[in-house]
Amino acid sequence: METRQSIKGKVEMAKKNNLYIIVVGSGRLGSSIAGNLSNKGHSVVVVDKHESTFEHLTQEFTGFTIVGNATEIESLKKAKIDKADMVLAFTNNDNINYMVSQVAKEVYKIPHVVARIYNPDNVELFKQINVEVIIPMILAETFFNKTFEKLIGEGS
Amino acid sequence: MPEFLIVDDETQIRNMIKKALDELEYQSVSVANGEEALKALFEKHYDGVFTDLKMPGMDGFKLLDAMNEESMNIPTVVVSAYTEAEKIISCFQKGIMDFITKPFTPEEIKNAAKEMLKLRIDIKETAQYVKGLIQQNAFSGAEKYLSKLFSSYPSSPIPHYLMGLKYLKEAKKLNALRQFKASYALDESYEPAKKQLEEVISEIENGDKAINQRKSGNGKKE
Repeated sequence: METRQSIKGKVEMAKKNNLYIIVVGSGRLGSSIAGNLSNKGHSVVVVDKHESTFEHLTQEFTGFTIVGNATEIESLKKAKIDKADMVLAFTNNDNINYMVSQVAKEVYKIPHVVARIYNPDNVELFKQINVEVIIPMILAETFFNKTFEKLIGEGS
Repeated sequence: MPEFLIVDDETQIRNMIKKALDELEYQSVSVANGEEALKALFEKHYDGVFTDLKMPGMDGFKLLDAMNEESMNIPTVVVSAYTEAEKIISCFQKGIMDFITKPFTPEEIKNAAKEMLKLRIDIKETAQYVKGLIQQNAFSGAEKYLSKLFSSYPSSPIPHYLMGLKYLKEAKKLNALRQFKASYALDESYEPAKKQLEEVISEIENGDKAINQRKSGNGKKE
């Protein structure tokens, strides 16, 4: 059951049409989501240790890019993590995503932290620190199951 | 409508600042470096400047120096990725109003723009006040406000007219004449300057006639 505090937090977030969002990892997924969020009018900062990955960002992206290692707190400070409403840990490494999520959640008390996880065995670990997770393998599996049912249903 | 100048070499940053100002319905003009900014500032009046520091060609530090050299009294806010204390202090020493570090939020830009507008002086109110100071022979106070008026409203006839009044009060008729002429040149329909210009010209002409008469009178005696 949702506490009054968390409901209040959600209402306040919904009222804010301009969120400060940090996206760690500028791969295809991170870049695409960063582009969508900035188009919606949010302030987006993308952090990646390789400058070349910013090429994935679309031309419509209106936000900041910071070259830095997100496992180093200085890089997150540069991105002004203390001001963030949301942090997305979207690198291609579960360990890095966990470290970023932990710092965001436990040190900076960021209200919303979402991490991308490759290994489904790590889900529990992330959930223990109240991080929302996206697991591409499970998403693909769920999608396949639905498609499969649809195809079989149509075929029979 | 308030108008701001945005100086940054990155198109994306310029667009972000512009977007924030658009939301307040403030106008803006964007340029990519210090040289272009100076050119724009000479061409017309802006209510405030948002400038980056690290830019190719004339950078933000040099732009601030040039603006001071030219006595451009325009509220300026630096928007930079620099976070070193020395650089920030150096900018404040050059007279900036605020320093925003990148990455910034639109709210920071909007608040800075509103603060810059608070520094805008009302020309009619200030002109009335300056007139009072001139009448009381408080010339240094009047000059202080006049320099603000000149930098904020360079194309208005009012600052020149007031400067003329000050010279007149100091009995510097020729200087006053120059100022009234400048005021009249800026706006021929500005009646106070026209009236003063005519009066000063006729006073000078009458003075000349008197001198000539005296001279010719003296000549006759000899």
